[in-house]
This record gives sequence, C-alpha cells and structure tokens, in this order.
Amino acid sequence: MAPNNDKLFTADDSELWDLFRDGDEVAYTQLIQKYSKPLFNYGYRIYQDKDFLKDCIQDVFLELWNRRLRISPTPAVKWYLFKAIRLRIFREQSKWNRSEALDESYEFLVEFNIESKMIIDLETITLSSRIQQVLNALPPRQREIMYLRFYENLDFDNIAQIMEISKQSVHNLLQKAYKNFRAEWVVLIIAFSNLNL
Amino acid sequence: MNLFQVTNYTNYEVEDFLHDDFFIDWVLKNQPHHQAFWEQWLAENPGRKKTVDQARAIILAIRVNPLTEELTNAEVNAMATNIYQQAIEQYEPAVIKQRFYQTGWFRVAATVILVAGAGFLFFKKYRQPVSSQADPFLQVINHTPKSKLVRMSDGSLAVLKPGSGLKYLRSFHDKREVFLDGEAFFEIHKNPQMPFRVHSHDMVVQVLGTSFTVTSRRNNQNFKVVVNTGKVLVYNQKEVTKEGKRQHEVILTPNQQVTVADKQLSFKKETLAIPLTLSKEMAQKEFTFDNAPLSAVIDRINKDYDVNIEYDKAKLGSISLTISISDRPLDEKVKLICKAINATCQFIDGRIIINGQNPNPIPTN
Repeated sequence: MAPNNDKLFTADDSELWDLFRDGDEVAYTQLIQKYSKPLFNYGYRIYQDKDFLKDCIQDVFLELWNRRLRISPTPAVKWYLFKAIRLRIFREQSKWNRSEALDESYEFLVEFNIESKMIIDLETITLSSRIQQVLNALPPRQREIMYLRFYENLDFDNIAQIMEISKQSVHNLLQKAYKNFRAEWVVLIIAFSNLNL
Repeated sequence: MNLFQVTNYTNYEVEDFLHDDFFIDWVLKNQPHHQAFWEQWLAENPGRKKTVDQARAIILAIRVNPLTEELTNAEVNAMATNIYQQAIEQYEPAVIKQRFYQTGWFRVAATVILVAGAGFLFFKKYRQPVSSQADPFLQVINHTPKSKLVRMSDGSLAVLKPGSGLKYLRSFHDKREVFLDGEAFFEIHKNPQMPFRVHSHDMVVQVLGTSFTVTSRRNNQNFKVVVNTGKVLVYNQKEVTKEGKRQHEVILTPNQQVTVADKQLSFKKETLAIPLTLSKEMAQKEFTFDNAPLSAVIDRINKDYDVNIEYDKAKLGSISLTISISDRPLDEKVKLICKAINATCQFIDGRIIINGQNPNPIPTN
C-alpha cells in the first residue's frame, strides 16, 4: 500500500482536534498544514481546477473555524474534512459553472498501479499489469471507493459518509468491482502462491 | 470496528479479505488490537495462512500514481496564512476577504510616461477647493523623496513614487476610476462587477478581472505600462469611437510591457527577459521566509515595492520569523508580519510604521 502522509485517527489528530475546538489557533493552522495536500489530492481527482480547489479548501477550513464550538469531539478529523471538501466541490461547481455542472456522471481521476518491486517473476508481472487494467477500468464511483479505502485508508463507514451513500451501497459497489476482479485475482493468487512457497 | 468478533473468516478467500474493513485495517494500520486478533486467528487456522499472505501482498502492492498537479509546500503555507488571517480577522470589516479563485488579489506593475506639462494641466483641471468634506475625490501628491502608500476604500493600494500625484474617489460606489500623474505601483482588489481604471492623460489602463499597477512620468515623452501579475487592458481614450470600439487596445499579461511614444499612437508590446520580482512565480520564492530575521523580511519588501517601512531596527531587526506572504497585498503583508512578531502597525500619511512589540500577548478570540 502506498504510504500515506499520515497515520489516521492517531492521538495527534484527536489532540489537535480538541485543541482546535477550544479555539487554539496553532492547532487550527496545523490542521490546515496537515490536510490541505490530501484534500487537494482528493478534490483534484473530482474536478481539475487548481485555483478552484484552493478556494474550496480555504472555505472548508473557514467554515470549520466558524463551527468549531458546535463540532463534536470526533477523532475522525479526516473523513469529516473529506466529506466537507467533496460536498463543497459539487455545490460550488453547480453554483459557478452551471453549464458544466458536475453530476453523478463525474469522472474520478486516478491511476492505480501494482507495485512490481514486490513481484519477481515475469509471469506475475504480466498478471499484475492485467489486474492494474481491471482496477483502472472500474467506473468512477468504484474507483473513488478504491482510492479512499486503499490510498487514503478510510474505512467503509467513513467512505459511505463522505460519498453520501449508504454503507450497503458501498458494499454493493464493491461487490460489483470484485466480480470484475475475481477471475484476475484467482490467477494472480496462484502466482503469488508460487512466489511464497 | 469491533464487528470482527462476529465475523467468521474461516471460509474467506482472497477477494473476501480484500473488502473486509478489519482485514484491510490490519494490513494498512496494524494497530495492536488488529495484530493480536490476526495472530491468534492464524494460530487457530494455519491452513489459511497462504490465503491471508496473498491478500496482504495484493493490498500492499496497490499504488496510486501521483497527479500532475499538486500543492507545493509554499502554496500550503500561503494558504494556511491566508485562511488563518481570514478566520481570525473575518469580523473586522476593514479586512477584505481574499479568495484565490473568485476575487483574488493580483498585482500588476505599470509605468506610464506622459508628455511634459500634461500632468500639471490635469491636476489644475481637477483640483477642488480644499474646503469641503463633501468633495468626493481625494488627492495625494507626493512631494517627499520617498514613495507613499495610498490605500483606497476597496482595499486597493498604490505605491506613489516621489513627484507623482494620484486622485481617486473617497469611496468607490459605482465606479473605480483613479487619475495618475507620475509613477505608481498598484495592487488592485479584484471586482469583476466594477473594473478598476487608471487614467493617465489620454491613456487608460483597465484591470481585466484582476488588478493592475500604473505609473506615469511627467517629463518624459513616453507612456509605459509593465505588468507583474494579473491582466490589464491599455487603450487611448481619444481613440474610443462612439460605438465604444477601441483602436490599438493592448492586453498585457505578467512580465509584459507596452510603450507608447507620444504623437505616434502605436503600441509597442514586449515581453521582459527577466521576470519581475513581484510576478507570481518570483513572489512565491521572494516572500516565503524560513527563520529569517525581521530586517531581511523588511528589506525585501522595501526593495520590491520601493517603499520605506519605518521600524526600530536595533530592537526588532533580529527577531526571526517563518512566514509566507506572497499572496498578500503590501498592507496585508505588513499586518501579517506584525501579527507574527506581536507588534502593531500604522499607515499614516503614506508612511508605513511598525511599532514595538506588545509586552502583553494579545488574547485570542
């Protein structure tokens, strides 16, 4: 798994969050420093306009500050922010750019890659490139789930909240994705088995 | 997160593990409770080890290729400064909310050079009796040997060079028009509904959606505009036809300049070989300071804006600060620096003054 830039829900995060809710300006700045990049990285996959996204991120954090007294002591800072940025991107886009409003047919820009360093033999490298193709051929919403789960390390509960769908829908979407995979996984698994013997 | 207790993993195949939250959490987060559970489970189900290893290997091998666009550290710092500033000061009405996208601050530097004498006529013509508070215009003429800072009602700024004059509306209600004689650097607050125009004799420099800077030299034969950031439109108002069509209009983008030789109203547009220090790409580097002494920060601003910030160098000069202020207009830059060192500042009569540090920390909120 790609090492993300932070560990989730660590003591640091909930500590920061509590300080921030008490109006600690340093904690607030640290939250901004810590999450601006991941938020941009996620948002850009939905809508590719750098300045627009900077604005969205800025608004998310301003709103956060204004609402700090009403925000629960959630340790899940990350999903809270991801949900906020996603909501804002969709809302602001339809407001400012009616002609090309984002809807459920949005693209999710992501390119998955199976790390070939971990795979030694030629056969498995071939297989991994096939797996990669399947991953990259998934429909946008499934790609988004994969991204949030495997890259951002958010659990399915959080993903459902971020994407504003039920947890069941997340699982249904995943089932669909894995159905596509199954055949490919099985072959890959055999290759891995050989490797691990 | 504790649902695993009721999950029966014995029949799980690789693809099942791949959409099991608890399993993925173990692989990716590996917190003690995950580790304890899976160690025990594997001890009880030795036959499943291979499947588990395979699922693990796959999860660990998934990568996401980097995007072509990313936020740089400098951008994150600038955003943090900006957001912080707005969050803390948003209830102060004097602070103009800064947005990157819809109403960003942009800077343009322009030099306007006029025919000798024209400027005197201009100011005579527009000079109002000193008396009335009702005069909608304010006028600043810089007789000092140093540049003066002019702050207008919408938050826009002009750095007025020695020997130059600027006339502007006390408040910009329905239009933003200023008259310049001499040379000035402008930082204009963006407002698409109300374009900002600098008139310099017959020449007009108009900010297109962003902002601009204008300067004019009284005793020269040439009119010149240089753009640092943003986008401006330059035209001669004498050449505007009744239908509002302009001849010879020129659009300038950063690091471009236009010169107009008197009498021959042809525009000469050039791109500068070296980017200006206040252009976006340079400013980001120039105005990001990491543990720099205050004196270095002030020197940088003084040099790039051609101003003279007054402060107690002996007392404050060596305070070190880490700050990123490239996206801010001049007065906001100074305010942010003061905030960082817990000092106060004043903008009086075109002077910029930083007062000593406040012995008592300002309470937050």
